[in-house]
Amino acid sequence: MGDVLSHLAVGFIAVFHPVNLVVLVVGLVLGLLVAVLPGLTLVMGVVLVLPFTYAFQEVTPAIIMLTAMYVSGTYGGAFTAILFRIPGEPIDVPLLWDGYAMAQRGEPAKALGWTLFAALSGGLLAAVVMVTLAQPVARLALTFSAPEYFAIIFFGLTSVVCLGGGSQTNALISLFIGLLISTVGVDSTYGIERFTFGLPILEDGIEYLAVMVGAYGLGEVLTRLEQGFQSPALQNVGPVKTRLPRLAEIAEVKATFLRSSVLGILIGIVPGAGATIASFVSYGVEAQYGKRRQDMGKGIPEGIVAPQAAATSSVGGAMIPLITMGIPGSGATAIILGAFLLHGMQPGPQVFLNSPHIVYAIFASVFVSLFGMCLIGYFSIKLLVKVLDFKEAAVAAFVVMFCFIGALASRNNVNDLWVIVGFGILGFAFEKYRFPIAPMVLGAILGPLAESNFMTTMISYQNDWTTFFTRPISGGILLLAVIALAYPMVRAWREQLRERRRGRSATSIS
Amino acid sequence: MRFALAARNSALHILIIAAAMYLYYLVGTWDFAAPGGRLGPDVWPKAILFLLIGTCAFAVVRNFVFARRGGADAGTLEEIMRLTRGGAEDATDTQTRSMPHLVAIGAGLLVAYVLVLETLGFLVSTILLMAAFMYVGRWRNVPGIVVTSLVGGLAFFYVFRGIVYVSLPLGRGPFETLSLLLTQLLHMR
Repeated sequence: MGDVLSHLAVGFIAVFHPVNLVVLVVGLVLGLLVAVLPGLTLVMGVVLVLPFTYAFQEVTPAIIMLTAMYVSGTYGGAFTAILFRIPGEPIDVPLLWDGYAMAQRGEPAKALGWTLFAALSGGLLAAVVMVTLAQPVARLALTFSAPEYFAIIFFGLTSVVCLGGGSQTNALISLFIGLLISTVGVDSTYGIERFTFGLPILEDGIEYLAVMVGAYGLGEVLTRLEQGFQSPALQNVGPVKTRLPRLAEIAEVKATFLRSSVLGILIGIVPGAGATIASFVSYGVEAQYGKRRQDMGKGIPEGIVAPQAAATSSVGGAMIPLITMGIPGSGATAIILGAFLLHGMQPGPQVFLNSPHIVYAIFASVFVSLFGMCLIGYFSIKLLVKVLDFKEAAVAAFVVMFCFIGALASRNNVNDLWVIVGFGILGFAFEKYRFPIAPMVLGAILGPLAESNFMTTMISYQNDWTTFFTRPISGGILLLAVIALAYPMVRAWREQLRERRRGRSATSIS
Repeated sequence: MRFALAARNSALHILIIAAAMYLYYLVGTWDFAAPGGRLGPDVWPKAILFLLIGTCAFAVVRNFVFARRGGADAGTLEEIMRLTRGGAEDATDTQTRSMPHLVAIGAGLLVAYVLVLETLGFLVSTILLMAAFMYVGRWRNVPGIVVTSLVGGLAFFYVFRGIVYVSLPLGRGPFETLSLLLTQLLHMR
């Protein structure tokens, strides 16, 4: 533990280096802005900022900037959700149910205070867990072989299918399309071209960042364009302030806070599930098992603390698989992984041995980001919500340009723009026909890892596929994945049976 | 009526099945020599395509057989919302107008941008795209559009070419001259 603390102290010194501190503040402000603007999602915002990080010679400021954005992006949308009933992010939808109700009761400052408390304390708890668990998990990961890695990736892929919104069948289709995208290009073992159709542009494969930029960035812009960029009218809310809750009030919601933070951390750790899932699940748990569950939705602190604490604490959880195993736990961490790779660094258990100064600087930046985010939020809410006055058409034009520059900057190849335009149109079609985008993106990201670990296992164990199930860790994880995949189907089937029974009894009564 | 609805809901799935079957056929044509007993590069794509076809086929069957049981396939988020909110209306449920012609024009602009980028250069193409996109996005303040697109285009050019050192296309002929002139004026390398 002393070793960890001394590394962390060095990490804090690195974060307070002027360059790192400036990029951290820039990241925080940008994160708050994208979270406030309804047309920009957190993941999309982090994607758009990625090209700026190419300018950094070192990996540390690049990751600090993106991490700061990720942290503050889980908090900024609270302002518009509570004050104007506009969820800047899907994360903030559960927050507005109680936050807006409290604001309508004449207590917007109190609602904002609860949000600030939940984001800060939930985030800090998750950051402590992240620092404590990272090294043991990395040590454990060092003992993993290809079957275990394959099982973890498989679990991540199934969880994004099960935990997302929309049809599970469409989520599976989206995932398989993503996995298929990841196979495009020249195969590294046999040197044969796979799905290149003779096009030189496809020989190097399709970069998952192009998939993300296209599907999340351009796809979202086209979706909003279809609605004609209709911005909701803003209400006049009077003076905007934040009033922090008293200690006695905090003591009353300590169970909610602990429950939600732990849920957020656990959901963050699961590869594929991020802040949105954490926020919804935590609100759902509170509404079903909380002490004041019957008052949820009527503007009680529990309804604010639960989603906000879970959303911000999911950041610390999502950083654990990213740093220790190189497996992204959410959309935003997938982009952070991309930034690592672009700077020539592969996250995983080895980074704790080779570059602990970088790892702990990133960890320290999470702590500093949490305090910075709250300070900026506390003192500049009025200024932040002013961005809602921007014309969405103008914001969209800038987003489009950031997408194009992001694609140009990664390989300096104009042909890459065709790829992101293609994925932009595909992303729009996915939204239109209710196919979730996240499984496709995660499939494109984790596909190569899944394939290489699958093939390595097959070669090492003479094509014996039962190896995945007979090894205790991989077998256990795969069992969890199967349960996660089967549970919604069983639930739907039971629901159908119940409905049928209800229908029958209604007929017999009539 | 029910059959027509099921057919409409299944059209996309059937299209994906057809595409996946064609790709499956393509995989079969790959020429490689796997050393004794080792799996080839075709195994993984074939497995994915098999699962994709299977899932789409399941969706088609479900649409035709269980079409009237809507909502049984809802995701976890919808389930949580149903349990916690009882289907109550909220800010996210607002009805929005659909304007597909705007998407068609917007997508056309994106394609046109990529087509002309190397000829007109980054600066001119960007200013034109931004202005056109804002207008298509139903912003009718022409001076605002002109100023925003000019400032935006110049800012992108300066930041990404001058500071981040991204190799942005300069254009051909007079457009290249214009870009180089601007590069000198802005003291960029």
